[in-house]
Amino acid sequence: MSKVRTTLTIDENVLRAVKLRAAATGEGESKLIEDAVRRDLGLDTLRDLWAKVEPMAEAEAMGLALEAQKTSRARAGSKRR
Amino acid sequence: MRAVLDPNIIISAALSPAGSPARVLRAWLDGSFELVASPKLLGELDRALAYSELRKRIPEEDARALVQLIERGSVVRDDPEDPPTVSRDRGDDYLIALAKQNEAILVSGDTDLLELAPGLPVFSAAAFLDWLDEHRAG
Repeated sequence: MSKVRTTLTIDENVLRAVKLRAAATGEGESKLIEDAVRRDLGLDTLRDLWAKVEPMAEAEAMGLALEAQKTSRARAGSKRR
Repeated sequence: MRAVLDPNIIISAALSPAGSPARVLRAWLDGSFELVASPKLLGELDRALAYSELRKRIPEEDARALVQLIERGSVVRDDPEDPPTVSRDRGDDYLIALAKQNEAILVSGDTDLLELAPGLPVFSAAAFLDWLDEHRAG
């Protein structure tokens, strides 16, 4: 992924904390902020999941997804009755 | 542009990283469209992910993270009240109503829903990706 320069307005205490953490860890401030945002937005959730899951073919995956959806609907319906 | 992703698209994306549903989720994370969800859709996703055959493949912690990703990243709208009967499966009607109410495209892998196109804006994952490409190009 390419990097872009941007300007943000953030709380000065937060920026101070970022600078302190960067000095303590030797990491760049931009990387610290980017990592925190990635964690908060869950941007690595799928990458982490895909690293663990045994990949299925698309049609097989959809078949299982539909089965799970229909079964859970039937169970939810029978609980309501 | 906005889209509602049927839970079967999200689950299929989790199971098949190279498939079209996974590419739809990547496109969403890249900012190609706005995702619309509702409490009912999130609840259905959560329940479906707890299905035993899925739980063998997607551990509870990862399933929870996936639901959170969708919940936090989407625009969560109210569930449609008393959606009209449109699909063969009454359980699908809220998805159509949610998409319609929010001027969104519904992306699904369910043939009951896909058969409603072109009368309603219901796309398969592959067709939606083509549509996104055309929209970007246009």
